[in-house]
Amino acid sequence: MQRLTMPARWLQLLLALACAARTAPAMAHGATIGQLGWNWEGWVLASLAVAVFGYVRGLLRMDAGAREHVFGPGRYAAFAAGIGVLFVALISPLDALDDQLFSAHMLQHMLLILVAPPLLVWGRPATAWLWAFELPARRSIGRFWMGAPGVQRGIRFLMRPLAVWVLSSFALWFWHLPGPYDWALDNAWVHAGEHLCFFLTALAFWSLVLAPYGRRQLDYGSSLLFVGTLGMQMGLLGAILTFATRPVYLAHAHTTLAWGLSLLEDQQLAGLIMWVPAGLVYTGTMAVLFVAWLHDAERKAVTAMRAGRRTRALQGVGTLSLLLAVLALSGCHDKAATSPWQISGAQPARGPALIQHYGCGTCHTVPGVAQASGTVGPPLTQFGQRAYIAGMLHNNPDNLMMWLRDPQRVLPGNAMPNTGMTERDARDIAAYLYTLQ
Amino acid sequence: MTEIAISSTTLPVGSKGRDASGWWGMLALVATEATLFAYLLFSYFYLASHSPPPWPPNGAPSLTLAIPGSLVLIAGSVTMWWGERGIERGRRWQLVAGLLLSLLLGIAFIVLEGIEWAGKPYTLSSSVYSSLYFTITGFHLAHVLVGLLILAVLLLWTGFDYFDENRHSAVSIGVIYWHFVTVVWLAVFFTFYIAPRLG
Ligand code: HEC
Repeated sequence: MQRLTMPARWLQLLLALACAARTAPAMAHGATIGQLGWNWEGWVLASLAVAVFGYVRGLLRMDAGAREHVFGPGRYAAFAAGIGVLFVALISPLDALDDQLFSAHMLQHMLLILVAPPLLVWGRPATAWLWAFELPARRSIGRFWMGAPGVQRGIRFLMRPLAVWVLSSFALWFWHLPGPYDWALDNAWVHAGEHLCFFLTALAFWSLVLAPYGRRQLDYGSSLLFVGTLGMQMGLLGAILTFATRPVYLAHAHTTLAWGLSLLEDQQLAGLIMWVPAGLVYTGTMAVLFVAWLHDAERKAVTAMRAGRRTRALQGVGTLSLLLAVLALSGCHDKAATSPWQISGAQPARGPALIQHYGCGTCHTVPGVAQASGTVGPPLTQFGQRAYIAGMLHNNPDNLMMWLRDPQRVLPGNAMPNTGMTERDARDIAAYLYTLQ
Repeated sequence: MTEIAISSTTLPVGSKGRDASGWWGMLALVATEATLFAYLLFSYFYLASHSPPPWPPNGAPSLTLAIPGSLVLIAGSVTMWWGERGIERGRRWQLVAGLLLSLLLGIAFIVLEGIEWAGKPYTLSSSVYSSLYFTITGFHLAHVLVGLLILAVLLLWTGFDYFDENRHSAVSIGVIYWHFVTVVWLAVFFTFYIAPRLG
């Protein structure tokens, strides 16, 4: 029974934490718990303040256009949320609680590894901080950077995926061995060092995974492996802690009972935190990467086709058929095709006459066009709701016009002939086809 | 009669660079073997957390042979890396030297490990710990042996002059495996020799 109610009680306690700061030493099960105050540690607070100040100042200094271009509202919000999470992890009573409960400590680590860093990285702080300086200072930072190839090489080496992977894994396992763990709890500096290890490796990890500036150092397939293998390690560590039959971390021996948890239960809870919520973050990240990968493959195939590189395009078709299957199954296809497309400057009213003029009706059934009742090609009824053109290209205006003007380049050898259609005619026909809902 | 013109007297052997199915095959093999070791090491920690202290029962194993062994294996990876760089620049002698050195270092590792095994007061079936010890180091040793086999074959092929600066995919593929064996050892070493000293 005790085991079933434990997490609930623990969560309740966590919720009550904010108040715990103000109230006198809280009582639980008759035992006195040390006061859980806010940890207004000078250097933590100062670092956070400088980070926020630099970010805001950088944004204010940029002109509005550049700001809009480099940072959307999503970016500021991510940065603000990241700072908020750091505040909760390092300053709120959670920080004080981590001396008393192993599970609280692991929660704090998860915030420092899996929640704050991705948010911060997404906010593109480096750019904002650079802009926090006056132009001459920015110039000399640039000059320093260009004039220090050693520093550049060092950072590039540390940011190599293999290096990040090895350092992250090592930090994870090293600091969760009982020896180093106790050591960190005994000495505030070592403790800060532990958190810094987690936080810095996580920043590097998430920079590689999220690629906040759009240039991917690590392609999607490798990113999936990268995230998956680190997530697996976290899961294995969580499993070990969850299934252990004896308490391994004795540092909390005198404090857990006050929270209604035995030492072993506290450890199991910690293991579950590392296993389930952390596992969800890794799995979710992998899902996002996978979808991004599919979109990227499709975009590449279409670009290759536009450039007329037939062989590459046909390779792309292979990937695309896979995409189609997956997209159809997952239903994650954006609903773009169902909305009427706005094609600027098009005159859909010219459509029926043009379709008659080009003789499309010999092969296609087209609603609203006289004598267009062919059965050679697919009927173009409800074309505005079609997801794919010729089962291959995303149905959007650009692709449709490309198809109409040059179906033989998109799908060499298919039955639909090139008609030498002008761009304007293609535009008008496309606009008309999109009215067929 | 059609005549086939061949500009050179011998046809090149192997694919260019890394464009070989063997490359992907090796990556897949590394993935499966890495998973195997991940779960072996997981069982070590799992069983450790289920056993009454002290763990390991006889105290942390001695480092006298394990540290030299690790250094030897790392050195073997470095020499192999150096040999591969050689053939990338068309220096066949450098590849031969690298392969020979790595082979010798690999054998040295096996000898050191053999001495360590012989000195253990327990056997495979004495205790949970001893089973873990011999199973995991044994699996690793088997992988070293396979690595030595690969290096020997590469040496033979280099002797037959199969490789040049363009075509040496077999070397790059074998080297990946050899580095993998070293990396796995570092994980095994950390688990058996370092972790008990840290808690
Ligand atoms: C000789 C017969 C023929 C003519 C003429 C022809 N098409 Fe097609 N069309 C086809 C065939 C066959 C396909 C199916 C191609 C495929 O999926 O591989 C097709 C596909 C299409 C598609 C994609 C339909 C879908 O659901 O994927 C559109 C749109 C289209 N044609 C429009 C037109 C228009 C507009 C014209 C007149 C300019 C035209 N076609 C003339 C044979 C023809």
